[in-house]
Amino acid sequence: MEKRLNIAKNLTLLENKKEGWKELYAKLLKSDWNLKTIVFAGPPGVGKSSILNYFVEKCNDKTTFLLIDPSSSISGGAVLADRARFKAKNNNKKPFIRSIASRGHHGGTSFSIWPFLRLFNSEKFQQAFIESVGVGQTSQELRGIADFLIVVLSPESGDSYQAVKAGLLEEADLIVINKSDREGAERLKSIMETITKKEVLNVSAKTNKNIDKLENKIKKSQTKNKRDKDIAETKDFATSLFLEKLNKKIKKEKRLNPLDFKIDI
Amino acid sequence: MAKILIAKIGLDGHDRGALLVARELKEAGHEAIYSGLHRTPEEIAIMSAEEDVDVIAVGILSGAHMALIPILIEELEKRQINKPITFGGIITKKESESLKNMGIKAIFNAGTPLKDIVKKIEQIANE
Repeated sequence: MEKRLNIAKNLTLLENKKEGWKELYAKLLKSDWNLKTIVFAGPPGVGKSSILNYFVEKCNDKTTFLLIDPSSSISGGAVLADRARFKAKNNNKKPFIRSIASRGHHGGTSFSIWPFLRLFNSEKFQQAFIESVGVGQTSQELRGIADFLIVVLSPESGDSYQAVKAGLLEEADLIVINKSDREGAERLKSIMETITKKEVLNVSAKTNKNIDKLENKIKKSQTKNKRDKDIAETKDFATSLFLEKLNKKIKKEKRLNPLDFKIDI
Repeated sequence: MAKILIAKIGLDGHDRGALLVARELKEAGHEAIYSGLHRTPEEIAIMSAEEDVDVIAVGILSGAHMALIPILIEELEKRQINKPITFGGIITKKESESLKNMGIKAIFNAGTPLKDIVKKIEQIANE
């Protein structure tokens, strides 16, 4: 338990950028990527958490589940309720589960996702399941994080117009249609296959249909080129830091003429 | 900003109130993590550790609080997790006193305004 408590405390240190976080992060960067990252993305309410519940039950303490939920753009607060759906009993032998508020970060992730992954990597965790904020069109950043990117849909989500648009679907390694016990799943599957040219799997977290197939696909997926991950990490970090500066500057600006606006980076 | 675990323990299946408190905390700029229903005290202890929350806000409406809260305290102590606990639910004055003696930081009886709950939790988180 002591180890878990330590990990949890370090995550908070990194997340809140408390004193010493940079030193810790620098130390974490020294260990090479060995952590396999599996990202579940997709619109709210399609059943990402319910699918993940199955994997929480199956996995051991070398796995982490990072569950990202949105922060309020009004108050900055958040309600993180992904783990509320996990029915699996959690104890010391079970995966380490942590909820993350997006804290104003766009793109379906959170600024702290990279330091978090680094920490679990250096703690010799083998895989990380990441549940992203339920978005679909603007979360390409997830691609950089994911060794295996799964986009979850439900029979009601989208049609051929949605399938053809640019966005997360283009990036997916696998499209999963959950709630396929409902009407419309087969139809959506054929649309998705035809238009995206990607592999589509119909599952049901409720009846466990095809969940074993999904499990197999995840098992077979490889840890991506480590260099790609490093590049994505740097890019995300640079972007986040820049946006932070930009937001601060915009807030300070009194007479805002968009054409005059300059920022040094 | 504080991080609060909204914890439902035991067989109690009512969480509308817990969700309202979560919403109120969110609107006050805090991060509320909801445990989900039917958790064991052990699970709540582990969750509070993994999430590294500032406060554990327990809600029990089944009447089993005098049985479950001491177990929660024990599970936390066993793991050397040192986090303040608050309790919300329907509770007698006598029980309130004994929970406070066990170290529960605040008791919110039915009818406590949401704003008061948030204020008190903020205060405890800052201690």
